[in-house]
Amino acid sequence: MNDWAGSLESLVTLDAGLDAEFEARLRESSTLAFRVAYGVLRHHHDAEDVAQEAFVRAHRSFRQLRDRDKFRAWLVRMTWRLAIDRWRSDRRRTAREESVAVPAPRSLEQDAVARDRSAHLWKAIDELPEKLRMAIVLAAIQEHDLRDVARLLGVPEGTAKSRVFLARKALAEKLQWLK
Amino acid sequence: MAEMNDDPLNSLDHELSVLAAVQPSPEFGARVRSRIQAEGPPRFAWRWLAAGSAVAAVILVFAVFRMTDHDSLGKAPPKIHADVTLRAPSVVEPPRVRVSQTVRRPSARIVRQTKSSEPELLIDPSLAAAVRRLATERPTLPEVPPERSLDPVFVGPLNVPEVSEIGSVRPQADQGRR
Repeated sequence: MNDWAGSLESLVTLDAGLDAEFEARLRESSTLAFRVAYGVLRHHHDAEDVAQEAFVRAHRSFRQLRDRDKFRAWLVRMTWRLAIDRWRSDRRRTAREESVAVPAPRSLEQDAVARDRSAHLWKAIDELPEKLRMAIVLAAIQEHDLRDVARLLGVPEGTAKSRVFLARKALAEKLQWLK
Repeated sequence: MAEMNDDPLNSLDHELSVLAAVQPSPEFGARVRSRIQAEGPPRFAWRWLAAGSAVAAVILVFAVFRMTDHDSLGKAPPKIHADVTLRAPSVVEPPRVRVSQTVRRPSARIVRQTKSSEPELLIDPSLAAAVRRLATERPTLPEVPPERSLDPVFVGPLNVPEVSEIGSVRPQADQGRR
């Protein structure tokens, strides 16, 4: 009886420990998950929804993650998959949130040109093969730290570098007419 | 802006730099936490206990089913399949031997018999007719004639000689023998 109670107590303690660890992971990775989702969807609300769903799933399976150091990579891949699923099901949505970083245009004409240019850029990114697309989005999120990108992708650094290079090359070819 | 327009890759980098700056709303973390709490924490022990007992129950049911199935197969009387079909041949033709194939599958223990319209053996028509009659008709016994009434038999009284007379006669008989 004492053994049973003891094992229960240890399980409760284990649960509490895992919850604390997950809470720490949530705090350090919430922005990353949101940015990954935003890189696919470019919609604040949708990106938050997808990131939230990814965290819920991660919490469900957190015990099964043997190597906790790979939590961020695991979360990024899960978020990416969920975001891609949402993006594919919602591809025809027209009212997408516009890029917040587009500098304020001086006139209506410049505003229209900037919007058009941004739309073309993102369309070209969306059309990339998924591996290249993920690589270039993560490189932008990690501010071109290729070691981090490789860690998040779960590939060697050389592979990550190659993917980013190929993605930029493909985009340069696609966007030549914008010159 | 003019510089951005000159090189598409510069525009691209500028556009992508948004991703490094964008932030979730302040209440995002709280929403995630409340959603996780609403789902309830995954209880490792109870889930595994439930899964284990479910698997054990399934195995138990399967084992009981297998045992009863095996017993019923062992006790079932053996099925007899007719290997020979007796028919009266209308036309005399070269005899064909029908081979009845019995396929026994060890797992399902199902016995199948292939169909064949041809008789396996040819026998004499009269014998076949006799066998058919024997199988279909009820046997008739020969009629027994009714019993005749017999005259009563009278037996007369038996004359038995006296014991003394027998004793007197015996010595003479013994002398005669000597």
